[in-house]
Amino acid sequence: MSRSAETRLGESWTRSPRMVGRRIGSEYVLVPLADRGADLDSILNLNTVAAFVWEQLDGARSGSDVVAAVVERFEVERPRAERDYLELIDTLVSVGAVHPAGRRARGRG
Amino acid sequence: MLAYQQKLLGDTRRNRAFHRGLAARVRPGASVLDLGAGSGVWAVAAARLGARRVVAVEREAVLVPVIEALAREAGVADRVEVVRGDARRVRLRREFDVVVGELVGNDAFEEGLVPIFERARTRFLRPGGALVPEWVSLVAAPVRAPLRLGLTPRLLPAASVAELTAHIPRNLDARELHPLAPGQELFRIDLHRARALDPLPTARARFRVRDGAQVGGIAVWVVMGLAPRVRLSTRSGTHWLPTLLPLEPQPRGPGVLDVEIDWNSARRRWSTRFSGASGRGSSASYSPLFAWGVVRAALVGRR
Repeated sequence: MSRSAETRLGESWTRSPRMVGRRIGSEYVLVPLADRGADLDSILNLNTVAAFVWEQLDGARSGSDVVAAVVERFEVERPRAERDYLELIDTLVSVGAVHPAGRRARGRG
Repeated sequence: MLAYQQKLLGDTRRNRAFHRGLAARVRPGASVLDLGAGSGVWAVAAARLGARRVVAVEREAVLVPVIEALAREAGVADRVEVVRGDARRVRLRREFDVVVGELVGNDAFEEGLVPIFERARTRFLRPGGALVPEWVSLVAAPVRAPLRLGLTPRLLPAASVAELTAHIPRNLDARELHPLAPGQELFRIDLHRARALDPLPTARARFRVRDGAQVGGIAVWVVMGLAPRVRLSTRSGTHWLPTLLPLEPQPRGPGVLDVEIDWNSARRRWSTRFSGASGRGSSASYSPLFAWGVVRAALVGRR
């Protein structure tokens, strides 16, 4: 793992109050509460794992904490879980769905 | 087109309210502009109320001779000028004492009321002139609704369709909606100040209900201020239909229902939080955008 990835896994993220999520059937959809107009491209569909991660982003858990929870819940290899987690965070950041909640030392793992 | 106009002409409550509104605003010798004139009933009424000059703007060609015939029949053809054109683009002089426009839809704003009135008041209305209506507001109340989402009768399992359609507002006859709490004004738009570029405010309301399980949705209707002390509500008894925002069942028993509504059409959304007296609660968010997200995911998956 690169140094930057390790650092990023020590960060905590919190869900933006400007996004609202809803599970419909097997889909989890995130919709932005934009101030103006609708941007259909900014609607996000989260798969089961991504929706689980989204619900863990409470500003307290670090990336490592969330990855550990994913590994435990979905029986996935940790390197894969870390890679997917960071990719999801990048996506969420790009649409303003999450905000940094401050940095903290890397937890487990 | 003509059948729709006949429906409007048969709306007694609407007709009385708009006529009272015009009578309160049109002074002898006034000049009046009617935007989206339809059958021309308000243009002709304004002339009969003493207006010196009335311009009726209507974009539907078929309605132009209807307005002209109505004006002749009422003996005011010499004071009513019909302009075939779009109220959004028509060019006129700034010479009107009153601008009337019955541009209110079931959802209040879908017929372009705010942009058309903003343009009219800044280009055509004299300073100190009157708008009819002068304001519009939205009022909401939790209702029991007979609405059954999905397939009726249940010939097939259709829960997936019901889940999607739970996010789609619909217009229902007021007789189908039974209020469970007094209506509350969500917001009021002053048409003398409203700007088309300003988004509608996010509305919040709190209702006390006796039984959360009876709540089938939130009914939203329009109230118009046509002149001081002249109001028209679309809750019932008019050709307009209230909008139902469906809700999933709430916990049984009494409680407080907090509602947040974004009425902007491109991102319409409503959220609820029910706090039951017994301690049970629930919260949920709804929006056509959620349904769109699900459908889009299915479409992308098939590529």
